[in-house]
Amino acid sequence: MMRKRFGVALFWVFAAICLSGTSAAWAQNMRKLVLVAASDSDITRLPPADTRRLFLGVAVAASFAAGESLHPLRNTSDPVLEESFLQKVIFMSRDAYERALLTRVMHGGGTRPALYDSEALLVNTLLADKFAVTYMWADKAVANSNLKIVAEPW
Amino acid sequence: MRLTRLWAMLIGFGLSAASLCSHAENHTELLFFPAVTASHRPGLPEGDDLKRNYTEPTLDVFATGNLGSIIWLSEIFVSEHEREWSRLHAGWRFDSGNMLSLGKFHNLQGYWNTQFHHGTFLQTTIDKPGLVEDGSPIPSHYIGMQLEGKLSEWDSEGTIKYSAGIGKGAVLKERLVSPDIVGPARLGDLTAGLRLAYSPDETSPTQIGVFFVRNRVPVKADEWSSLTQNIGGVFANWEYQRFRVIGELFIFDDTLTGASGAIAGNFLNTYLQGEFRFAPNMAAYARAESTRGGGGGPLLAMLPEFIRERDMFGLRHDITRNQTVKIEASRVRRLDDGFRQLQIQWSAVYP
Repeated sequence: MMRKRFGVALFWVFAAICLSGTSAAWAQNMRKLVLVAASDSDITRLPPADTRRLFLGVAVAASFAAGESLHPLRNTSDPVLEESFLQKVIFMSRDAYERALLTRVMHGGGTRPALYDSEALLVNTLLADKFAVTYMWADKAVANSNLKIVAEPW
Repeated sequence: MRLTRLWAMLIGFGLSAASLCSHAENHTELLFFPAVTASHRPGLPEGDDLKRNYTEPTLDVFATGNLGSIIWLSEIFVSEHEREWSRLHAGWRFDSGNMLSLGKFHNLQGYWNTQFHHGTFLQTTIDKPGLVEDGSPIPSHYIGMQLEGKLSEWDSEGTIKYSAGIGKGAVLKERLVSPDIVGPARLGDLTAGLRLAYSPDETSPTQIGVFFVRNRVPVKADEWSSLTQNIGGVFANWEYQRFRVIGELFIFDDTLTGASGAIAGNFLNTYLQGEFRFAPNMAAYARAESTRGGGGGPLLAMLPEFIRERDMFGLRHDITRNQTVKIEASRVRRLDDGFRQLQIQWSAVYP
């Protein structure tokens, strides 16, 4: 009897360990990507089409300030995040995206979206520019009270 | 000429200031487009300006940036035979879709001339169409003013883009010589152009459009003193998954005037290019170019280097994100002669 109870307990302990590990891995895989701006920015909502246009180098007008455009900032601090962004927002491979940006700049001038390898530096830049928009994992955006989510692509 | 030099100095100063000011804000881009092309041309006539076997390195230096709503751009092309400040302009973006610029521009003729400029890496092929190469009957640059932007938005996604330009264009010597902002004066007469392009999605490269350009060109060759050109046409670039098709049609109406009177001529030039990306980093392509109509008139007779017909095919292999190798075979017809050509090119963009 004692042996049976021990076996059942062992089973449940093993199952709990497996389930928690699986759910952590599942959560890691299913992290949500969001578009964010500084919380004191006047940007309210960014439609998906505008998000794509913005990060492909098309000038997107800031609805709250006449004559001003939004500033896209690329978050390259996490390769998985960058890949998710390319697949879910831009719908292009990395090479095709880089070439599209180059072609647009070569054609009409201006600059490509700035790249940030450091998320701390990215957030500092975002907080200093009320027209700036970037992307990051939702859990990180929610954890920072200085940021607000302006779009949730998926 | 003084005004031109002053303008160049002002823009040069502006560029320097912009570079310094915007460095900290990461609002400048400096790009290098190097290329090395090896050519083998069996059947080339003896004494031709081109060489039968030749390797030519080229470099395009491109810089651009913005200071608030001012966007500036500078492009310098260097080869063994040519050193040219091919574009230099600064523009004021007065709303999110429209911009007014001053400086030196590529002419508003067609698609290729306004799309790839000198960034060899960006174009799939090695050779440009004959009409946008040296020796062609269209002036490729002008100095003046350009207004461009979005004319209207269609069904919330489609866009009509416009470009309108006016300024001083090229001079015709042994060939059409572009105006330059430094060096000896060679500004031509009035040039004006309009280009309209419809794109079903503003972020898509697919577009279809029309253009019209009028050029008055001083002639410093033979018995002629001036050339008046009306050039109109249509262009299209269509991209779908692995396929791409580019086509352009140019209609020329030229009048050469001299002491003995005036003579008019007209002709058509067209090309069609197809591309198929059969692997993520490999593409096969082919292009046919043709010139038709009345022998081209007196203007084409003055431009024997102009490539009137060409059939070509090739392969492009993107070896890394920013480097590519292309191999291309072509059959070329000019005014009086022709030759076959095999080329291999390495090109890149840095950084």
